[in-house]
Amino acid sequence: MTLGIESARKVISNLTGKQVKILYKTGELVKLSGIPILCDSPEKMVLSSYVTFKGDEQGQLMILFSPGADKCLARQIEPGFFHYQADTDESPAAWQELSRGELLNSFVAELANIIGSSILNAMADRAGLMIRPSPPVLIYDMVGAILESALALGLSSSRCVYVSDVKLGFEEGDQVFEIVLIPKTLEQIEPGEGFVGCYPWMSSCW
Amino acid sequence: MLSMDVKLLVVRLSEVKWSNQEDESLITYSLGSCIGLTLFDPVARVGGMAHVFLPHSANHSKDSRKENQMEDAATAAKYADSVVPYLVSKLLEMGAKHSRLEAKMAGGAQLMKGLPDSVFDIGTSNLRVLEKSLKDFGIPIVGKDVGGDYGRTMQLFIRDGRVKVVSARHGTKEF
Repeated sequence: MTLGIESARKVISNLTGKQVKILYKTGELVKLSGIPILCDSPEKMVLSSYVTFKGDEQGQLMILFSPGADKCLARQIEPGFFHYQADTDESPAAWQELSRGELLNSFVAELANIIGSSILNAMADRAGLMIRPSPPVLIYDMVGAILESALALGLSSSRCVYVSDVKLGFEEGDQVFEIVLIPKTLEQIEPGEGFVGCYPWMSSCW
Repeated sequence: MLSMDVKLLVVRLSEVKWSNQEDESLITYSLGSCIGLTLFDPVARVGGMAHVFLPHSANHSKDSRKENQMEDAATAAKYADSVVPYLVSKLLEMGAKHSRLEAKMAGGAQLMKGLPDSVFDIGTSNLRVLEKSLKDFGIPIVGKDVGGDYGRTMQLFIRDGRVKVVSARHGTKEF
């Protein structure tokens, strides 16, 4: 995971032409209700990129952008284009309208694609796995609704997921997004049941 | 967003709760493909709510090993094919009459539209199984806000059996 995040950081830095730092990152197996962004409020509206992957390992990968994170990231790339909206519309309703904009959605999808591909490629390379991700799907809705739908789609009988919090540092401030990884076979274990031992491919990447 | 002049009992994922206190309200947040199910007896003013996760308990080997423990609330509430008998039994214990029970539902959405392999619509499956189970138990569905591609929060007021459904993109509905 570390290698994947680092790879994504380099790509974003090249894309923006600005220095990007990984300020912190954590990775742990947590109960669904323990996902940090979900603890604040399950009704919080977030923009999420969602992909499934198949191959030697199956599962789902989500990148949840905190409200405002996508706009800030967009500003780093095209300050002129996004300047007006970003500086005048800060209400949730306005953010919703902005988030629906084709260009911003396209940008966020591409950004999520970079991050997601970097992580999955790093896992595959490091552990010698073949992983085939689906094209990303963008969803703007309540964070709790997104997460429970993803778990249901994976037919997971687990009540826990693997979550990574990543904070990227830009010149204008820090922005947070969260990476939620749900391996298919995760449903066989619960927190405290030897997670690392069950997933050497993941521990070797983290 | 939702009425706060009552004591809120939060029903989490795969949970079921019930009440006969008129100053209490059951609420479940951010339903996606899951379904919020309420049963209410308008005379006894007894009501319950479940946050149903998946359609069939038989499809899940880990939980099916717990067949003898289906009284367990979490397991019963998790699946559409086991939640109705469990919730009915709890409401009857609190003084409700089977013949007076009314059902309302919300949720069952499909948020992950567009995936190449999203051939399985969990929300619709949940809905179909729940509707069949309610029909088998002779409980009428008197209100529902289901389907679509958006999340919902559902709240049941024990005082009058009213259900309020809130979504960020489609406003508030009451029934």
